[in-house]
Amino acid sequence: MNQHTRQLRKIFAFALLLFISGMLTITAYSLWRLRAETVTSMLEMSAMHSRSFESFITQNMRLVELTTFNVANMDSRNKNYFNIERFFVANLRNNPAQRSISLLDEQGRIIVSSNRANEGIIVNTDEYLPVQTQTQTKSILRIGRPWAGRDFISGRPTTHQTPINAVQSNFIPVIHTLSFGQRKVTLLTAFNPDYFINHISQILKTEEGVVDIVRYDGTLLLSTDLTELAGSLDPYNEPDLNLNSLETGQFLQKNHNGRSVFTSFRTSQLYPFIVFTRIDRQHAMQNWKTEAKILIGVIIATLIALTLLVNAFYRRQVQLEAERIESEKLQRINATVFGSSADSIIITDIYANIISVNPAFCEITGYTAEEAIGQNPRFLASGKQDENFYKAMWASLRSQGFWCGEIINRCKNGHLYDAHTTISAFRDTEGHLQHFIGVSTDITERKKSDVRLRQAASVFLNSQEGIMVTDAHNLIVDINPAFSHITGYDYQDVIGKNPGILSSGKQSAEFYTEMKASLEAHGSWQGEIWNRKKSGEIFAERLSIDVVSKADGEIDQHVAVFSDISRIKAHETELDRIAHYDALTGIPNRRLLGDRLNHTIARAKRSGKSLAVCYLDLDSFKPVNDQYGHATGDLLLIEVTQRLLKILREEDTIARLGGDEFVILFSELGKPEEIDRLLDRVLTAISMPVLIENHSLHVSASIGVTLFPADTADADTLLRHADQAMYQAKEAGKNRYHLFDPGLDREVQARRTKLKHINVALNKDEFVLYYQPKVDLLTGEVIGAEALIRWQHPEQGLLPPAAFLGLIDGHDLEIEIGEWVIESVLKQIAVWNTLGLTFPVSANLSANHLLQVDFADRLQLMLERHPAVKHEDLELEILETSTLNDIDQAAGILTQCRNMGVRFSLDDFGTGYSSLTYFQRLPVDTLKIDQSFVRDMLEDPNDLDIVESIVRLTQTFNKSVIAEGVETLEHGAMLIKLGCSHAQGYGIARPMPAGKLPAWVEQWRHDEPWLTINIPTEDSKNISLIIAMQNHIKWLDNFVTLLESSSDTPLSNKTSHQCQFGRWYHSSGFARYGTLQEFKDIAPLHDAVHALSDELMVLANDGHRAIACRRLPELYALKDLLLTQIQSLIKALE
Amino acid sequence: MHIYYLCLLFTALFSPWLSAAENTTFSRLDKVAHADALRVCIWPDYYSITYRNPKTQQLSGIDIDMANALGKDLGVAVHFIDSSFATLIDDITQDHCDIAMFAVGITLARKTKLRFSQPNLISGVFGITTKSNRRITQWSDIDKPDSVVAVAKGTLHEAVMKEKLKSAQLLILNTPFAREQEVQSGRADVFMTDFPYSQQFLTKSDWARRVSPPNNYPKTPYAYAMQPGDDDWHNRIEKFVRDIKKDGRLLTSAKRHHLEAIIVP
Repeated sequence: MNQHTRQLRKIFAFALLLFISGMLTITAYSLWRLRAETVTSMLEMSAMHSRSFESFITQNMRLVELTTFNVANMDSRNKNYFNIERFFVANLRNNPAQRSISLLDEQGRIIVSSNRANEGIIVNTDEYLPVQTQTQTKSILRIGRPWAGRDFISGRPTTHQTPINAVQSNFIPVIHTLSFGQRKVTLLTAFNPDYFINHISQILKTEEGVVDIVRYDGTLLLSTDLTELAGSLDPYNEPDLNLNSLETGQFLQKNHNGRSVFTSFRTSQLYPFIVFTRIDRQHAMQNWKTEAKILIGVIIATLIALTLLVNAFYRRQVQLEAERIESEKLQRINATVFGSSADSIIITDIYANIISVNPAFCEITGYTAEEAIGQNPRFLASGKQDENFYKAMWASLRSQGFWCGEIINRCKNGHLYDAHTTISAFRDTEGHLQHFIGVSTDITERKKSDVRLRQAASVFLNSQEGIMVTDAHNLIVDINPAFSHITGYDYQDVIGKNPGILSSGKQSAEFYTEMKASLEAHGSWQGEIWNRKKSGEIFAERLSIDVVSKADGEIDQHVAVFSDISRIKAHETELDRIAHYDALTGIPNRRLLGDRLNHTIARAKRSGKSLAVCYLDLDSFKPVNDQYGHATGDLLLIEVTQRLLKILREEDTIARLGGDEFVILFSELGKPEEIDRLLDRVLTAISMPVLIENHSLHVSASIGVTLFPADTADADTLLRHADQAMYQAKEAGKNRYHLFDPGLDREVQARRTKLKHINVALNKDEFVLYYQPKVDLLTGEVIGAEALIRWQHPEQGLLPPAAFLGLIDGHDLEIEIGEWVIESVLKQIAVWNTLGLTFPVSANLSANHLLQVDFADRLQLMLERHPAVKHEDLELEILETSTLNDIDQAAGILTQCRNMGVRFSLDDFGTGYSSLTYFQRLPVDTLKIDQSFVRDMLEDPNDLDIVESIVRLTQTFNKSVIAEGVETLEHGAMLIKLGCSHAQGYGIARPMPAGKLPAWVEQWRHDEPWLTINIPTEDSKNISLIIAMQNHIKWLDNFVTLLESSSDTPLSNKTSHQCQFGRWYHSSGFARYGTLQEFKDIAPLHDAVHALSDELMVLANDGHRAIACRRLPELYALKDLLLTQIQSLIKALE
Repeated sequence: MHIYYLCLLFTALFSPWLSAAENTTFSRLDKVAHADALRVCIWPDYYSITYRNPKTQQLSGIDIDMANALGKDLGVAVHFIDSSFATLIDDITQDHCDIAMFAVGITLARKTKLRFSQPNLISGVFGITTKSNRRITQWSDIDKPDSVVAVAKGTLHEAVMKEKLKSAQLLILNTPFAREQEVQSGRADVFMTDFPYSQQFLTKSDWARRVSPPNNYPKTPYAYAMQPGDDDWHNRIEKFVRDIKKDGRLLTSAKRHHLEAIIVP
């Protein structure tokens, strides 16, 4: 019971109590009033009866007086007793109150009576009241005590002690005396009390009340109460009535039965009797009681009814309240359902205008409630349903008040969705249509899901893979056609059975235990398994088992999908063989070797013994192939393999890497010396002649060996090390083995480290460019500068290019650094241009860099980044020694770049193998003569010839030429003489930081050093011959000096071809003067000089230095002959 | 109107002679038709049968109705002649009336003098006493030494009481309403009467009380009395009695006077 209900109950209880109290109070008051009124009215009625009865009786008695008067008159006229008697009878005829009338004589004897039987009877009237007194009244009526009996003749007078008996007839004697002087007429009348009783009883029923007529002395004359006996003393005995003063009165008293009575009394106006009317109180109040009962009954009934009504009303209110709460609750629930339902709900009025939608509607359709309300739901129509669809829908709604179906609607964003919709007509209790309620479930997903299910079913049916579904007890519940196809078991064969019927017995119990564990742990298992078909055939299958769990995590089903992989297995085996074994020889190939090597390394680590990795390459195998064909080569390889297999131990491995390369792993070597013995056997076995197709073939092997764990490396590295060692064995002369030197390898590692450092240096901007000016020695003009890279190493100081450029050859860094140089040069040109220095600046370009496919584009970008720089001011120097693998590509790139305006030069010209080819094919502007030629040209006639040739070459092809390595002005002078005025070198200026260059230019121009150059006057044509001759003289002097010195240093000497003169003579000298006889005659002399010098040297080295010194004059003589011959050549040339 | 009175006078003067003269030759039926009047003897004190209300002088009662019915059947006027049980035989035999129609009890004595129709009513004897009479509460209380029983002279009750009473004193009265006065004044204890009288009397007198006899007490059939002989007349009256019983006139009238309990079917 809630607060509200308790309060309601209090209010109802209080109101009811108040009302009942009021009603009861009013009722009680009314009853009290009514009772009082009843009492009053009863007393009044009692008094009224008394008056009425008194009057009635008195009047009847008065008739006696009239009769007496008549009799007195008759008597006076004629004393005729017969007439009197007839008079009496006639008188009685209409007067039932009187029973008999008698005339008395003076003695009280009846002398005439209406009843003749009475005559003669003497009646004693002494005790009649009022008492007879002396003072006679003219007329007096006296009442006697009642008599028992019908008449005087048959009756007797009563006393208080002897009243009449209950059933006896009785009468009241009344005597009336008329006095006329002395004469008296006395009539005795017997009054019939029954007449009065009947009269009174007619008016006042005995049960209502009784009337007593009492003589003044208390004698009861008559009573309507049949239990009271006339003649007795009035049982009420009301002695306190003061009858002389009090004529009437009323009071409440108890009768002799103890009942309360309302008593009123009234004395007769004329005669000595009193009328008592006693209304029975109980009876009198009966009406009041009845009314009171009725009233109380009605009131109580009313109150009970009211209470019941109120109670019912209260209960109704409580019920209504409960219903209201329930209804509110229901409404809240409805509202919650409405609000939280995942289904879209639309409520419309009877005209199908939307009046309410729920949030799910908004969510599904994208329309807000405000947009939807007031609309007809057809605004969602997709147009996919035709007119008939909606007609049918409305027909169903009209006839059944209900429609249910699927409908395609359109969201606000235009997307269509499938909805399962139920529309109900909502009617009020009277059946009037009020609303339509539409509930839609978005079943787009369900439909998709259906499609997916169909797809899944299709997959199940059409899958080429066998599918088997088992239940939680692992009994088969479903299979697909592919299952039957693969295993041969049809549906009826396997349903309800354990998949163990497929078991082939090839898998161990552990296998299945593991499978089960995987299923329990991961809910799935994949693997390959051997199973048995119905036919008994065993096949391999790839099996995937997944556990399908219920929501509570319990296993519901297992789904096993498998495919027959017998063929794949066979194929795999074949592939594995192909993959791991050499097709030709059947021994492991490189891949399997890798595995074996790893295993062997692991084993070696465990055993602590050594492992030898031997890289074997056949020597002279290619000629066999070339000479006898590949078939023969292959047979040779097979034979070699067979031989090797014979001498290998069981724990060893041999593999063919391809071609004529083999690797042998010798494991479990106790001592390193063991390997020598083993390898000797290998070399011996291979070097034995092989007889193939009547050819006796002879091959040998070069073997590189590395020992693990002495060479602590991984498998790949060990192989590489062995390979390196094999090359060294080859280099060392083949048919031998070479042990890998780990120390050497460390150098390679060091190079790698340096590359890293270079990369870091580039990123840290540790490289700087130094510039070396190029000048025209004739005019003194600064014609350019070459940028030369330096590494400002933080620890080692400034490093020259040779310290690092060699390392990056062929490396990506080469490109990066190359670009950095070009970029820096362009920046520098711009800077110098602002200072008024406007000469081309060159940067060195590696061949690799040049051959980058996008080189021209990237150069273009760099130039564009420096728009202030004239393209002609950038010159790129291609190192002539660089290997330009694709000369056509290089030419193309150069052409592209030259079209931009950039100029090119071939650097170090003359040092490469293909100088002329390059010169011919590459569109360069300038050749740079390598400094080695320039530096030595003053001493070495060969170099001089080369320099001269190059200069001439440039003149021929109309290119510029510049000489590097000009260390002195003498060099400069020689160059000018040879026709090359452009020069670069220490003799002019050392490379310097960019900042110092402007000052240097200033200084150079100021000092004008080029003016001091003395150009040689000799004929430039024979300069090389003269120099050659001078060289020979110098060499001989040196030899003599050494021979004569006393040191024990062994002497070495060059052959005649090897000395400078000899080289010149056989190369450029022969080229120039070979046709001249004078030149030809020099050679024997020169050879003789060398022969003698060799002889002397041998003597000296054999400890006969003194003897050798003594033969020096022979040498001097030969020298003079040679010089003479040269002079004759010079003369011939002139 | 004059002719009517002349006829009456004529009839009064000559009818005894006429009747005597034509007694042998003419049926009373013819005489009645000739006279165009039916003389009916009634007892005007007879409640419910032939009672004349002293205040209005109107006659009422079942036999008043039947007499009128008979007159109507015969097509003649009805003249009611006051009679009483004391004078009944004389009134009939002396031709004071053509028929006595006041519930005349068929007694042996009367049958010697009168001719009766078939009875139409039947009634027992009833006593009337005062309400205040303490001695007589039932029938058996009546025949006691002290009791005084009043009857009307000439009635069948006189004969019955004379026969039945052993101890009680019988008081035979011959004045109108004398019985009632004697009982009311206490000079008699009870008077005897029949059902129709007692019934009507009790309704008028609030002091009176009826004392009924035991069930086996003899009952007397009531019929119409005529002179003996004259079969035509008798037959006509018999026919009339049959008619009124048959056509319901008797019952209708009996109901009106609360006598349906005692009609003879």
